Amino acid sequence: MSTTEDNVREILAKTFPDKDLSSEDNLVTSGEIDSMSAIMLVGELEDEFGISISPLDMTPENFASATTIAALVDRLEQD
Amino acid sequence: MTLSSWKFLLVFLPVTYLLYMLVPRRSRWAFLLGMSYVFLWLCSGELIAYLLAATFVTWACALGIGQVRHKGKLRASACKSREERKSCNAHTKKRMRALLALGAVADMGTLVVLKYGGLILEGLDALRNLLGLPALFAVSTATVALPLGISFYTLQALSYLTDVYRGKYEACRSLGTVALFLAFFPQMEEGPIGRFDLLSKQLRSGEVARGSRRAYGAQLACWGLFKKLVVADRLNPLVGELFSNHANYQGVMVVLAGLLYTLQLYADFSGVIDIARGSAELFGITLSPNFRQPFFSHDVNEFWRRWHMTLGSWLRDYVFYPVSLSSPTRKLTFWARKHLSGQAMKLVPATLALLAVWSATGIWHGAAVKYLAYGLYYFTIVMLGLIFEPMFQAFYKKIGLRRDGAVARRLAVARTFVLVCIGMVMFRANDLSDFVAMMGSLFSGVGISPLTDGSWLTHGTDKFDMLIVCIATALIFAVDLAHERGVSFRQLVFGHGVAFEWTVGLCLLSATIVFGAYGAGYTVVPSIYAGF
Repeated sequence: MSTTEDNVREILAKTFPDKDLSSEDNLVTSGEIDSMSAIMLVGELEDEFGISISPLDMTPENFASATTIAALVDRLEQD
Repeated sequence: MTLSSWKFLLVFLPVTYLLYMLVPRRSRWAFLLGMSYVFLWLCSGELIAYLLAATFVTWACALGIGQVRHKGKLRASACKSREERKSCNAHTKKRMRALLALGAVADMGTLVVLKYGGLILEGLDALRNLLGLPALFAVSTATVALPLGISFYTLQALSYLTDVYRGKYEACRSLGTVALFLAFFPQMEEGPIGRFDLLSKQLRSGEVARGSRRAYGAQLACWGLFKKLVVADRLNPLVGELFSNHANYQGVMVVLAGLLYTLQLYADFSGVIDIARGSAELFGITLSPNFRQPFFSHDVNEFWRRWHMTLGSWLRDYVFYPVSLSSPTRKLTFWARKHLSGQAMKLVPATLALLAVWSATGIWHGAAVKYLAYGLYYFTIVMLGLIFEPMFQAFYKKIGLRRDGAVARRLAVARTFVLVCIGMVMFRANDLSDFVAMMGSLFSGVGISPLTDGSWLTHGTDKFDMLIVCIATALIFAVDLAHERGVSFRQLVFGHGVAFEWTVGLCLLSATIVFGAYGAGYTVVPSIYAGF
């Protein structure tokens, strides 16, 4: 498990304190994350990692799980 | 010609399908395009010119964006320093943005002028009066004819342009493919609003539905026709009476008006969408669904993820996310994080994007203040829900009721349904003042006698009509319930043998023919959303 993914799990726990989303792998399709909560999560991710997430990155695939979110973060950090 | 008319279902669609099968596969897309233009010509006449112009502008601007990007990448790769590359990329981006703006202004501008021009001129004229300025020109209040589907194909064109700009996919070199994407006839009347990457390959594939796929398409269209003719059109006279002469009806009759219109709109809109999707299936094309059992929603956010889904996802991807991630909103978010805490910190940044989305939702439906108010109604409910969320959580905790428990969830469904019905009254009322008057008369204290004395069953919808509506609605509800529990229409009907499929199809068709509200004594009811 990478450091990025650990951080993403912490951010998920902080943004959604009433839910345990760390092991979910269908965050968007299951309805755990909707567009409103996705924007809140984006704000936290941008602050934490110093990245800029664009509307093009806002896809169900990118936000499906902590793993895919971490992959998105890693990709944007390299861009 | 509408999708629910005999001209379409018994002549245009079967003829198009039969000829489509005879055309060589590689030419079928061109044949579909031709027939789409024939359909639009029959519906809108020379107004088709607007679609043709929008098609060319959209195709050309998208192609331009792609070429600028490609040349920009080549120039950037030849740059010697980081600074030079940055400047090159900025120049490329500026040119791409200019082409996007050109296409968007042309497409959106046409829609704004045709659909909202009258309202804008009236507003300017009112402002001129207020300021005591002389009139420079006479303001015409004549309604401008709109080409069929302009509100739908404009959104499709904008999504295509934006996706190409964002680099989601390459611009399509084929004018014909872009033209067919915008003009494909089943989706012109009421959508669904398609996406280029989901539709383009299907439109070009030349596939023909055979066997069970053809049967599924035909049955889906039949089901849609059943909802439209048996429920929606049968309710139309009574709903018209209750809203046009609302001063004669108070209390429980306003509740009835809200319930019946909600049912009429759902049956009408989802019915025509089913006809559109079923028709498209015949040509091997799967259009996106537009409804997912909306009345099983637990809050209005969920309702709008289940009702007119393609409009909701369009607004999410092209309004909500861009506004939320825009520079001003990011600055606001940063400020909120520094100076606010708790729920306020989360809400302030979202407010701008939500206001944009809900205003757009309202305005898209039409050039009237009531539609803007309709959008702002949902904005208010969503914002209040967000603001009071901690209090709701505390309340449920205090009374010992689990929010995800069966009781709380059923109450939430009922509450959402009430809120939606109130919105529907606003949507259907002649104007905002009529809506206010109707809501005001809810508590007029007339009791339920206006409902039980049967006098309301003398305005074009009688007891027999209501009995049919009730039975048909129960059937619609049963199908929706099966879908909600994960059993699809397809699973219900198909896979049990051809004899069963044919029996269901014939029963559905027979019920529509026998109980549909058409022919002598009935007025043809245009599709409600075709007017938007």
